Amino acid sequence: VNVESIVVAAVPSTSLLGVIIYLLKNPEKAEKWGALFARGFAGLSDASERRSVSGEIQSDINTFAKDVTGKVDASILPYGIKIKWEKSDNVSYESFVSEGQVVVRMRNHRNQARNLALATVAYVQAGFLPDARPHFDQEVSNAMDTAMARKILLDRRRSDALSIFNKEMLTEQTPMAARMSKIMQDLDAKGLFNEMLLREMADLGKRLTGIAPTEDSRKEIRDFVVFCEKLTEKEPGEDVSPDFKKKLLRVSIVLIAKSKTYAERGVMPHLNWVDKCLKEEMDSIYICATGPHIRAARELDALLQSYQSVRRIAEHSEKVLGQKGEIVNGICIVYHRLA
Amino acid sequence: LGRLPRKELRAVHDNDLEAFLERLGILEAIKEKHLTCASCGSIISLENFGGVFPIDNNVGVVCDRLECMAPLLRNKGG
Repeated sequence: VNVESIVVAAVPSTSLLGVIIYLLKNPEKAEKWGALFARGFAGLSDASERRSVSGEIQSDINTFAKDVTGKVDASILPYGIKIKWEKSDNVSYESFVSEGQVVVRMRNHRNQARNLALATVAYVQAGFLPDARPHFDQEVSNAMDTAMARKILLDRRRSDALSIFNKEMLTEQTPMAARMSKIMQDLDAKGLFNEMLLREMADLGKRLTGIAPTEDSRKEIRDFVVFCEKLTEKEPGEDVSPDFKKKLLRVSIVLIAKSKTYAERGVMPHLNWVDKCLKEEMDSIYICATGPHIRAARELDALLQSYQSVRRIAEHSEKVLGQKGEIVNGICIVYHRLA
Repeated sequence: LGRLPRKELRAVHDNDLEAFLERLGILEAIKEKHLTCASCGSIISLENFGGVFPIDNNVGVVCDRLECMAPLLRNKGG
């Protein structure tokens, strides 16, 4: 038996099996490749042209949604998007009027930036934080949608679509909506939009499912978004641990940023703060640090892991914007108080 | 496997647009620029047509500005 020939014959089939498993696990990638392939035939067949448009959009948005779902919380973007093409021979005035469905225009793939911007707006309006959304007032809702749509387009590196979005969606913001959008952009630059704001909104949505929104709940969420401004306006080298203590949201954020405190007293001041938060029944505690302060965050984290009264929910590291506008490593560790 | 449930966004491609509008009975009105955007009031043509929606047993249209389409898509598309 020629072992070498068996190995040579087995490699392609093993590779093929690997590719098949990869595509089954990542259908968005298969969709992207299918769309690119269809683009080659777009001039020859309408079906290929449609496939090229819808496949790429679906792949871009669904890849992003799956990433957020996997890394943060499944209820932030619980759905993907599917473009369903309307065919003229299936539609009549009567059926259209009675079915109550919106139909949007998608342009040729050469104008894919506009198609993607439109699909992103549609997707965010209908599929972003669906459980929590009824509890948002209009300005919070608009600011959230704007921040998420921008995030999707930036993540997919579609500056052409982002440019259309910025030009056509941000023209008539109220001063408060513009302020909220700025807060969310700044939070995102610090890695806290997904990790803190959206995580809290996702948790809130789960707790409030089936409960009618009230003016109080809408006001509290609005206040929480404005409270987040404190996190974005922190001065360099300043240790702040702002907390938000209301009926629905009880959140404390421990921002470790002062080397002098750590050099003199280690993490004890932060640990004391966490103890105080737990006594005051804060539900979520976020420990955040950048650059050299990550060491202190890790030390605090190690101490908290021995606490019986909290559960470590997540840890997230990424490059974030530092206090002086530089790109630095950042960390955010999430704890929940056990009832 | 590895796939999120998906929400549908109903769309008509440029290649099918005129036939689709014809079936809805609004192609001529658009060509003759008799319809206006339900959001901003601008005149709708084949160039700036953005979408169509049912309203009060009738057909409404919006232009292709994202700002005009967004309210329409809330809880309906995506």
